[in-house]
Formats: sequence, C-alpha cells, structure tokens
Amino acid sequence: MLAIVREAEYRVNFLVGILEGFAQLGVALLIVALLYSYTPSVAGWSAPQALLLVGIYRIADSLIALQIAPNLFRVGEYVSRGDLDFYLLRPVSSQFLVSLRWLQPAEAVNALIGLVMVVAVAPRAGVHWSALGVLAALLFALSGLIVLYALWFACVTLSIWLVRLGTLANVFYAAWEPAKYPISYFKGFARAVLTFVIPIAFATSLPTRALLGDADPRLLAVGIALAAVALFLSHRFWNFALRHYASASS
Amino acid sequence: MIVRSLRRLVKINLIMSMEYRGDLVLFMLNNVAIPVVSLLVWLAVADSGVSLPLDRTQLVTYYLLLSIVSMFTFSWLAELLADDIRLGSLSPWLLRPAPILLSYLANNLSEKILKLVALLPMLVVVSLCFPGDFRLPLAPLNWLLFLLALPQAAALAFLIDVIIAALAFWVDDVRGLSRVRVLVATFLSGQVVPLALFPASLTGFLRLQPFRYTLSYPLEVLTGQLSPSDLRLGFALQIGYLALGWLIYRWLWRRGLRSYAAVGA
Repeated sequence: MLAIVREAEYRVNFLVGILEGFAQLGVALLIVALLYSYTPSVAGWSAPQALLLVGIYRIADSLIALQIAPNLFRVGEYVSRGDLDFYLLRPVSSQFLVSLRWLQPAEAVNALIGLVMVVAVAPRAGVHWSALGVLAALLFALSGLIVLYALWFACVTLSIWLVRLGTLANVFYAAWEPAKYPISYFKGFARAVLTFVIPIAFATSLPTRALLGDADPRLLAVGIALAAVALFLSHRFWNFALRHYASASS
Repeated sequence: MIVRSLRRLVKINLIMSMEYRGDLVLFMLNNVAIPVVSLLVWLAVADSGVSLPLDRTQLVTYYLLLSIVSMFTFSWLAELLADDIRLGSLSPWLLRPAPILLSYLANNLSEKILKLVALLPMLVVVSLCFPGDFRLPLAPLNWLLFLLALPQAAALAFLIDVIIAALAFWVDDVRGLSRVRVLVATFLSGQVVPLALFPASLTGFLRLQPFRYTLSYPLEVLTGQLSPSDLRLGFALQIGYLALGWLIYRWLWRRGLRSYAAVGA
C-alpha cells in the first residue's frame, strides 16, 4: 500500500516538475515577445536569437535542477544534522560524493523540451549546424556550469561555520536570473561581473553565440581555465572547512 | 478583542520569524535582484533608440519601488491554509477565541515588518547605482493615496489566497490552482513587466482586471501616472474587488466549515 502511495506521489511530483518547467518557459517567452514587440533588435540580438538563448537557458537551468541543485540543497541538511560523517568515512572524496548523490529525473524532460526549442528556433536564428559549433557550445556551457557549481558549493561550505545560513538557493537563483537574457543586454561593470566573476555568460550567451558561429574562441580557453581553477579552489575550501567540522562534532 | 488578539499574535510571530531572519534577508535578495535584472533589460531596449511608453526615469523608479511594494503585497498562505483544512489542523482553531485567519494575518504582518528592515538598506544601495534616474515621488497627495492603496492591495492579495485555500474544503489538491494563480498574477499584477509596457490592445482589460489592484495600482498611484478620473475609477475598482472578495470568502468559508464539521474532523 505504501509503495503505491509513494509511486503516486513520485509521479505527481514528476508531473509538477515538468509543468513548472513549462510555466517558467512560458514566462520567458512572454517576456521576449513583449521586448521585441517594440523593436526587431535589442543590443544586437534578433528575436529568434533571443528565443534560441531561452532554449539554451531552459537546458542549462534543467541541468542545474537535475543534478546540481538537489545535492547542494541537501548538503546544508547534512551539516546541521551531522550526517556529513557518513560521507567523510568513505575513501572517495566527500565533495564528489555529496555533489553526485541525487538526481531530479523530471528535469531531464525539461532539458529535452529546451533542446526541442533550440532545434525548432535554430533556422530562424541563423544557426548553421556544425560539429565544431555544437562542441564549442557544450564546452562553454560546461565550463560556465562548473564555475557556478563551484561558487554555490563554496557558499554551502560556509554553512559548516554558519549553520543557520539556510538554503542559500536564493543567493544562487538571484545570480542566475540574468542567464535568461543575452549578456549584451547588460553594460559595463555588470557585464564584466556576469562574464568573469559569476560566469552567467558562459552558461547561456556564449553557447548560443557558438551555435551562431561567432563566439570568440579565446574565451573558450578562458572558460576552461576558470572552471579548472574554480573546481580546485572549491575543493581546497571544502577540505579546509571539514577540518573545522570534524573538530566541532567530535 | 480582535485587535488585542492580533497584537499578541503578531508579537509571537515576530519572535518566531526572528528565528529564521537569515533566510528572510536572503529572500529579499531575490526581491531586489529580479526587478533590477528586468530593469536593466528594459533599459537596454530603451537605449537601442526605441521610444517606450515609459521613459528611463519612470522605468527605474517603477522597478526599484517594485521590490518594496511587491514585498508588502505578497501573500503565501494559500497552500498552508489548504493543508490545515485538509489535514484537520483547522480543528483546534475552531475552539479558540481568535479565528485561524487572524494567525495567518499576524504571520503575514510580522514577516513583512522584518523583511522591510532587511529590504530598505538593499534598496538604498541599489538606488545609488542609478543616480540620475531614480526619482522618489515627493508630492504629499501621491503618498497619502499610496498609503491608502497599498494596504488595500495587500488585503486583496490576502483574500484571493484565502479564497483559493477555502476550496480545499471540497477539492483534494489546491496546489495546482495556487500555482496557476501565482503564474497569472505574476504577469497581470505588473510584477514582471509594468502594465504600461503591454501591447496597447490589452490596456482596457489590464486596467480592469483584479490583479492590477494587488500590486501595480499602488505603484501607479505613487509615481503619479494617473489622472483624477483614473484615480476615482481605480479606487472604486479596488474597493469593489475587496468587497467582492470578502463576500466570496465569507460564503465559501461558512459553507466549508459546515461540511468540515459534518465529516466530524
């Protein structure tokens, strides 16, 4: 009986996750429609190109919700409940374990919807599909997401000292908000921060430009370097924090 | 009697809310960040030479004030109250002198007091980033009318949520309806985009629909966008919707409690 109840709830949550994804996609589409009802081009991006970016955003957002978010939400709980010890006893890196344990399967469907949207809008946006373009797009997106993960993980690491910090998801999603728009919409200081400090640009705008064939290849090298450094630093910070955790909980 | 209970409940809720004040502060970050992002996007449109129904100053002022006004009018009780009804935790409240809605109201008010404390400094900092364009309206009449429209807007949003929650007396899962309400309200209340920026063909509908009066209307009153005849119609509609909402709530609640008691919960 309990198994059936759990099955049903799982299916309901699955459906809710997909519907929420649809709703958010609808909101983004309506905003783009409103923006472009006034002008055919904003900061060098046409409406189909902006839609292409929304599709990429949908995929990136789903990947975060699929893999990164479910785990980072839980790390805070592990810390406050002392469950972290379970992961510290393993021979494998605890950061690896806590970051890869959970998945939110409904989001895979949302990512697929994003992919469908990208493919559908691509011809109107002027995409000429090429293996190189797709590879560059994937690498840009991956490097962006890795840095964002490292930043979020560093914030979560802080909760080892400041246990009452809460979910911190709000901080991440406040920073993630600009990702649904082309980076060129933002100027000057904001744009620099959103490219190199909190690399939203790498997660959505640059992959879109890579598909459109005019992304700066040097930025790809920068992105990969940023991702490697960020991962390394977050790992060092995590291990540093664990020393404090171990001394506090014994 | 009601006022005394409310004061006591607000005090209790303030203490409870202080427990997770860190969360509230972080929550306010979103309240500020999201309008700022939308603002920057619309400024990019304005900068590309297009003439929008709102100029730079109006856009900046709208989006910055939006964070405070949307915080004040925000309501979150629908799913919580629906759960109380569904799971029977409504019962103890039926025996108490204060109605359960008073508790939700106290919770609502106390959180908003704390959020305001967190929000104001953030807002000051952000407004310094738009030195030339943030124009805080100074006309005292605008402020008086705003101070009338704002609590009415919050009350209307509260009532809409209570009405949705009351459906839980008959419907098993109100969450879907609540999410739809949030989605629809997000657009129609002017939370995402000022109503003035919607296509001209929708102006009539947007001016009359109830969600305008939960957020956009107090903002429009404050920033002086409305003529005296607009104001008369606006306040009439806001008060009208409040009255209608109140009637629907009383009717639903009374019938709901009757069926709730009949089940012997």
